[in-house]
This record gives sequence, C-alpha cells and structure tokens, in this order.
Amino acid sequence: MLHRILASAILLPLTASLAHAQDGIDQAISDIVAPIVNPIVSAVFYSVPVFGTQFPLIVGWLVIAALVFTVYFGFIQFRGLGHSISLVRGDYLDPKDAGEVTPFQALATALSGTVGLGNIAGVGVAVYLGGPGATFWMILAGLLGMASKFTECILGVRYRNEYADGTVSGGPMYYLSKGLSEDGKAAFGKFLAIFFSICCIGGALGGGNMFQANQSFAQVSGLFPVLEGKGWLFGIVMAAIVAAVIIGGIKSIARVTEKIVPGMAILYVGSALIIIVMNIGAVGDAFMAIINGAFAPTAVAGGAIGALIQGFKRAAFSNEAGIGSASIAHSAVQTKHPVTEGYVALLEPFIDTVVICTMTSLVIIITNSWVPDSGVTGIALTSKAFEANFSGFGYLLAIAAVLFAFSTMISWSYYGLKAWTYMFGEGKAKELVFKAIFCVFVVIGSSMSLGPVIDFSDAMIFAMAIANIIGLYMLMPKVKALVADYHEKLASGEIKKIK
Amino acid sequence: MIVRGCPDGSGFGTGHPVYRRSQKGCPLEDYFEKNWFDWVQAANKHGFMKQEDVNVNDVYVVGFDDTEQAHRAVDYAANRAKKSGASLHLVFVLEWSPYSFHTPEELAERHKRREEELDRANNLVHPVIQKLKDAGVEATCEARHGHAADLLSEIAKEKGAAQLIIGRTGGSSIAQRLLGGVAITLAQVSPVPLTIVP
Repeated sequence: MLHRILASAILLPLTASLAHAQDGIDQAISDIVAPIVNPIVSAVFYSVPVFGTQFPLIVGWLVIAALVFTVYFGFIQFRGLGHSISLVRGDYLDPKDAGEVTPFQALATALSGTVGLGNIAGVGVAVYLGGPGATFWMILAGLLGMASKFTECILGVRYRNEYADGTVSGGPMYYLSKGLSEDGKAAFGKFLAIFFSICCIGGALGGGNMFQANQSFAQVSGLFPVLEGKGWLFGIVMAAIVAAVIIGGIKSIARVTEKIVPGMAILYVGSALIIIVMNIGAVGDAFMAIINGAFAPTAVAGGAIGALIQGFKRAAFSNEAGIGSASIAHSAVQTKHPVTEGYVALLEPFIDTVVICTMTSLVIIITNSWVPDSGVTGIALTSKAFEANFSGFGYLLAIAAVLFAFSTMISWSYYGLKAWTYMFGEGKAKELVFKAIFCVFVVIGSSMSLGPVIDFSDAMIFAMAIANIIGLYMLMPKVKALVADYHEKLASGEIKKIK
Repeated sequence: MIVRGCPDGSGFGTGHPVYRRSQKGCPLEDYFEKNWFDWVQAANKHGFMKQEDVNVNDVYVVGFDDTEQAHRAVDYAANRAKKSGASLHLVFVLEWSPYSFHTPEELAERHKRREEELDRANNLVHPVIQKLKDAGVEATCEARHGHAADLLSEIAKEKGAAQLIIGRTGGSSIAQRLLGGVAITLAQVSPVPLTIVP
C-alpha cells in the first residue's frame, strides 16, 4: 500500500504539469536532451557508405557475431532444434522437480518480452523502407540470431549469482565481470559490465518503456481521435497498471494480462494465417517478391543493401539476439545444466522473427499494402494490411499493441532493475527507486513525441550489444566446453529423457 | 483377489511358488493348493514377492489440503484404517501448472517460493500425522506440486493403494460445476476404488 501511495505521489504532480504545458515541456526537453543525445545516437549508429547507401556498423556487428556463433557451434540452431523442442515439451523434466519453472514457462516469459511492437510496427517499418526483400534478410538474421541467444543464455545461467534466500540474479553484467575475471581480465570485465548496465537501464527506460508506451498510444489515438493530445492520460493509466504489478506486486493483474497476451499472440498469428490462406494463390508471388526484392529490389533506397539493412535492423530490434536481455530472464530459471537454457532460448528468435515477423510481412505483401513513399509505415502499414481483409481489425490491433507493450514493459522493468541492482546493490529501497523512475517514464513516453529521446532509446538497446558481444567472443570457448560437458552427460545417461 | 500373509504371521515365504509348496504348516496351504492359478497370477501382478511386501497392509491414499472437508476425510479414513489394519498416506497437492505464465521476477523467485510452499504444506500435514500415530494409525505423507486429480491418481497407483479417499470440495461455483471439481474428475479417472467423504 505504501508503495502505491509513493508511486502516485511521484506520478501525479508530474503528470498534472505535463497536461498543462504539454507543448512547452515537449520542446524544452527536446532542446535539453538533443545536444547530449545526438552524439551518442550518431556514435552508436555510426554508418559507413556501402554501395551508395549508409550502413550502420552496429547492424553488421550483430549479424557478424550471429554468423560467428553459428559457425563456431556448428550450426547448432539447425542441429539442436529437435532437442530444443523436446526440452520445451518437458521430456527431460523430473516429476520430483514439479513446482519449479519449466522450460516452457521460461520460453513463454522470454517471448513475452520480445514478441511485441517489433513484430507489428517494426515489420511495417522494415517493409516500408526496405521493400518485400527486407523480409528475406529479416528471416536470415532471425535464423543466425538463434546462435547468439544460445551462447548468451548459457553464460547467463553459468555465471549467475545465487543468494542464500534462494533467489537468483544473472545476465551479461554477471558473466562479463565473473567470466572475464577467471581469465585474469577482471578490470576489463568490470568495465564491460558497468557499460552494459548503464546501456541496459537506458534501454529499459527507452526501448523497453517509452518506445512501447509511445507506439501503443499512437495506435490507440489513431482509432479514438478524442484521445488526441491526451497521451498523459493514457500514460497515467498505463503507469498505474505497471506500478500495481511491479511495485504493488499485485499478481492478479499480471495473471490476467499474461493470460491475454499469449491469447492475443495466437489471435494475431491466427488472423495472419487466415489472410494468408484466403490468398493462398498469392503466396507464391509474395515469396518471389521477397526473394527478388532481397537481391534486386525496385523502389527501395539503397537497393539490395537498403533492404538488407532494414531487415537486419528490425530483426535485431525484434528478437534482441546478441543484445543480452534474454540472458537476464533465462538466468533466473532453476536448471540442472546451463546448456538446457541455451537450447530453450534458441527457439525465441525462431518463433519471434522467422515465424511471427514473416507472417506480418506476408500479410503486408499479399494485400499489396506496401506503397513506396506513401508515408504509410510502421504500425499504420500493418494495420492497413490487416484491415484490407478484416474491417475493424485496427481495433484488435490496438488492443494487441497495448497488451504487447504492457508485457514488454514488465519484462524490461526486470532487465533494467537487474542492471540497476548490479550497480547500486540489492535492497528493497534501491529497487523501489528504480521502479518508481520506470513508472514515471511510462507517462513521459506516451505523452510526448520526443524524437531525440526515442532515438536515444534505440541507441541504448543496440549499445548493450557492444559490451555483450565483446564478452561473448571472449567467453565462447567456455560455452563450447559446457556444451561438450552437456552432451557427455546426455550420452552417459546422467541427464536422461523421462518421458 | 487380495493376497494376505498367513494368519500366524509366517507369510508366504520368499516368493517362488514351488519353493512355497514344499513348506508345510500354514493353515492357508490347502487354499493355495486348490487355487494355484489365482495365486500365480496375483504373484505376477504384484511382481516378485518378498515377505515384507505380502505382509504390508493395505494403503489408503487420502487427499489433504487442511480444509474442513479434508479433515473429515482423514477422520473417516482413520476409522476405516483402524478396522482393517490399513495404513494411511496423506497427499497435500499444491496446485501448479507447468504451463502457467510468469513475469521474469516471478521466475527468479520461483525456486524460493516452491520451497516455502512445500514447507507450509508439510507444516500443515505433520500435526495430523502425529495425531493419527497417537491414535494408533500408521500414517505417512507427502506434499507435491501438480494437478490434484492427476497427482492423486498417480500416487495411488504408485503406492498400490487399496483405495483413494478425498473430501467433497463442496464447490458450487459455476466454473466448478462446468469443469467439474477434483472429486468429479477423480470419479472418472481414479485407478483405484474412490471414496468421497461428504
């Protein structure tokens, strides 16, 4: 109760002032943050000209890392897919461990953090800017990203902190500092861990919060013009619900929404499937458009490279492979061997990007909704594509967007919190401070159209990958040893199938 | 057919029917001579028989969740057990689905919560076990996570229970009527005779 009063005490005065002086504050904050933020954004998204178009190095950084891990682990995402599915089905679960988190639950929770606006709005942006061909590169990036997730989630479990009270904390900040100190690189590891934590907090408040609030409000206000300019109201409601869950610990809200979110995901994918089946004759042409567009696109800025950049960038933003966030969620799970989490985690980019994102873009392509330079992009493009078959689908999409945004916020509040406690130490009071800040940012995100801040949040999420992937390269021999150990135990029957 | 030891406590010996036949002195010998086929079938069904196995009394598995109905079920089971010399096995089921959804924070706390839940359940069952023992009824217990009907069936099978005894949940909510409570489900799936105590 005290928590809730505290949260509202912080939120109310702030939001009231926002309501009165929306434009003024908007402009003022933009003016203040832009000079600080712009250099960071341009540093993270530093681009080099490639075949006449600008290629952001960070995108190459993520894709090359994914490719390296794919080769280093011998195409684990294809060889290990069967084993992953077997783990998630619970074939290796000991009935004595009933009551512990199952691999299915770990996967579902991690997915609820990644499946979201990236799959709806992000794909819209990718297809708008990169044409149908962007889909091809998105799928490729998703497939490669599976190896990155595999690597980072194994390390997350291997180097997590387990406390006396039975709770755990893990993630890149722990494997960067603990893993590298094993090799006598403690100082460098600590530096990377702090760098990661700062970016993770920024990413949690930005991409994991403001961006979500902002985009879901955009969809809602588009349908209900009466809400236009009342983002603060939407923000307060959203912040209050988020606060009730993360500060008030009100499980029932999480319970209800977390039941609806998988339902929405199924509804979304189901609707996409129905549209695809209704237009089954056009699917062949759509795939031709995707393949042709990948290598020789028309009406796309930057040609094939432009399509590739958009596909890779949106895939990375959607499935977060190589970013390190999923590792934080997976390291919380009790498991007999770290490698099992790697196998479970590699399914995430597959489901998120290869399945769900591909469906969105197929719907956009077969309904001919993509009009270059029309200005219809992001969630509006996706909405238009679905509306072409189901009128009124925009409303469903708005609900889906809000719920996806909510579950993504809950997940990112945890990632940010773990980075926060890594830097400032564990403790209820310290956690409360972060959670309160997080809720304030929900209101800020939905009430303002702050270009620089949104750019900044994108930049922070991608910056997490800088520290994380350096660490992954240095620690990957340890992962290989763990994988070998796991397969030995599988072969010897020490870890065996129960069902 | 219920296989019991000889009334003089000598049991059936170490198991092999042929070996048994050569021994004399058990008043039931003649019965088994006449019903040889049944005896072999029963022995096979229960696996290799050791003296202890055969002498073990029936086990009644009792579902227990510290509700009033559950206490009534235990009282009823204790009465029956006293009369027949059976022992009781109390099962505390902690409702848990391996498919339920959790926030990342809940995942991190799950291990700790699970231990707490088991502790709490055990703390509720142990006094009951003590009371039963004081009353001269042999009783054991366990607390496990899972779905009540599935778990009770599974444990009844595991223990080779003679019967399963549960309290009527008494739930009259629409959801329970539509979906059927634990009692209704068990009535359909229980692998052993089931008693529902009102």
